[in-house]
Amino acid sequence: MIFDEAVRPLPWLSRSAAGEDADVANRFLAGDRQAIRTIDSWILRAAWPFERRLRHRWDDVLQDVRLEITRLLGQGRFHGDSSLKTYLYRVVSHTCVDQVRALNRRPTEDLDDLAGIDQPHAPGPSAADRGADRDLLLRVLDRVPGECRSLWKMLASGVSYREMSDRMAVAEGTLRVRVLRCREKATRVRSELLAGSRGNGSPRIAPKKSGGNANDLR
Amino acid sequence: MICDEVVQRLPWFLNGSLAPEEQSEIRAHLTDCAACRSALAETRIGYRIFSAHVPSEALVDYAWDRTPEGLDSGLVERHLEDCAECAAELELIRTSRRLAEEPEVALLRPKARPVTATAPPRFYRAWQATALAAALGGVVAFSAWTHSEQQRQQLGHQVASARQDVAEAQKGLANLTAQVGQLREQAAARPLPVTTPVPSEPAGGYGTGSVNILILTAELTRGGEQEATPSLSVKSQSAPLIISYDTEGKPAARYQVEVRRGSVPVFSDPARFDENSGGVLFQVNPSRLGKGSYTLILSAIEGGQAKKIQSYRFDVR
Repeated sequence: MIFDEAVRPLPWLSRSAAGEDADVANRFLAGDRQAIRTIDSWILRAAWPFERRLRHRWDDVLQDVRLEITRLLGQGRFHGDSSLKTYLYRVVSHTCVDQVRALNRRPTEDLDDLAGIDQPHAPGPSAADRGADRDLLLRVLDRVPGECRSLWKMLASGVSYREMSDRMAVAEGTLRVRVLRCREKATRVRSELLAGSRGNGSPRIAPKKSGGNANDLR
Repeated sequence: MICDEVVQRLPWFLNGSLAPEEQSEIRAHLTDCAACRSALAETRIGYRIFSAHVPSEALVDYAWDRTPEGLDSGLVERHLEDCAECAAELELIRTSRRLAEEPEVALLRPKARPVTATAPPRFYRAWQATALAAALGGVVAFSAWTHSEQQRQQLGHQVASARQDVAEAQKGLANLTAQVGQLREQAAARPLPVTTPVPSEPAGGYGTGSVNILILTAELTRGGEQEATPSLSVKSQSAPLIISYDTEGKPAARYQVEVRRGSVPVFSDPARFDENSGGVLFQVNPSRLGKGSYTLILSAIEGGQAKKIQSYRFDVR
């Protein structure tokens, strides 16, 4: 048993008005069977919708969720803003979505031998910048034409340019140029947004009109 | 390969779909060309942009009707309209939320396959088989030697007796055929009204195949307590069920759900398989069923034949 009696009740929980939640969480951390069963039943129910997507490694997923919940409760990350049950359901959903995304992620070409020389001016983002970076990427994506998103979605799923040109009934050369134009447009928008946010100190950018225009590509 | 050709192929270089010779040609070019390496870095940024999704924590906030922190909700909404992956994930989180907020929803899971006993060691099985074969051979030989003559006589009698029986049966069949013909003539001359009692179904029905969502499970949880048999409240007008069921990749064309009270069928309705939830969606009306123990039988309809898949017990209290 990973929990022993040396684990003391958390101070924030002792003071909490939601005595029942505090009691369940404290007993869970102390290894009380009934509390573990209660929380585990919430986990199983909250994770149920994801079981079909993750069934090949379902036991591992549930174990990851349990570890995450133990970690969060142990670190006092639950502040009682919502009920413990609601908090745990949200944590389970979050963890399961991350697992689904990790499963769908396609590894890109191994470029170990090019590491350090292919990105001379672009070191990886720091952890602090990562949140703002995701926001920026979403804004850039919002401003590129829908056709670009479709093209790059096919690319990300590993389709070759010959297959893409067959599917879209366009010449291979035309397709390669379109893909390049899309990338150029996206990186240009990103640079503009970055420059704008540095200029006025605000990352807020006016939303795009709607959908994007495929003619922008040509 | 010149720089333009290399740069145009970089997206496929990164997704690993180029032919091996193209791949190595570009790799060699990149080691010597700073401009193309810069284009490679830009292509990587392109991948990051076009693979962007709503952060999972923002999706959870959105599903729980909270404003995602640091994200424009309009931006999230537009992305969700365009991105099937994020929309599907949002739907999964919303289903999870419903399970939190609707404790009357029951979850049914496929029953675990029974564990088969461990086979005995091979040498033991071989010894058993040899001994059994020898014993059987001895018994057969002894029986043949002892009873062959006696059996021959008995068989002769039996054959004669069977021939006599066949002749009598043929006579009886001829008589019955004649009687059937007479009865058909009588029925044609004076048709009788046929009435079949039909059990009346209460207004509103016992159930319906058109449903929202829901579930049953052997691990049904309510208020943190585990129950062996799911139970539905008799006060409930509708209890939607999701019968979690592994189709092994190919759902049947149609499904049927039959509800029995004991061995008496109460009603039977079509149901549909839902890809998103991975279950057969169905709905019952506990207030119409009344208190008691019921069995729900899920069948797949293939080629007009109903094939039973699984059965579940549930109570209405």
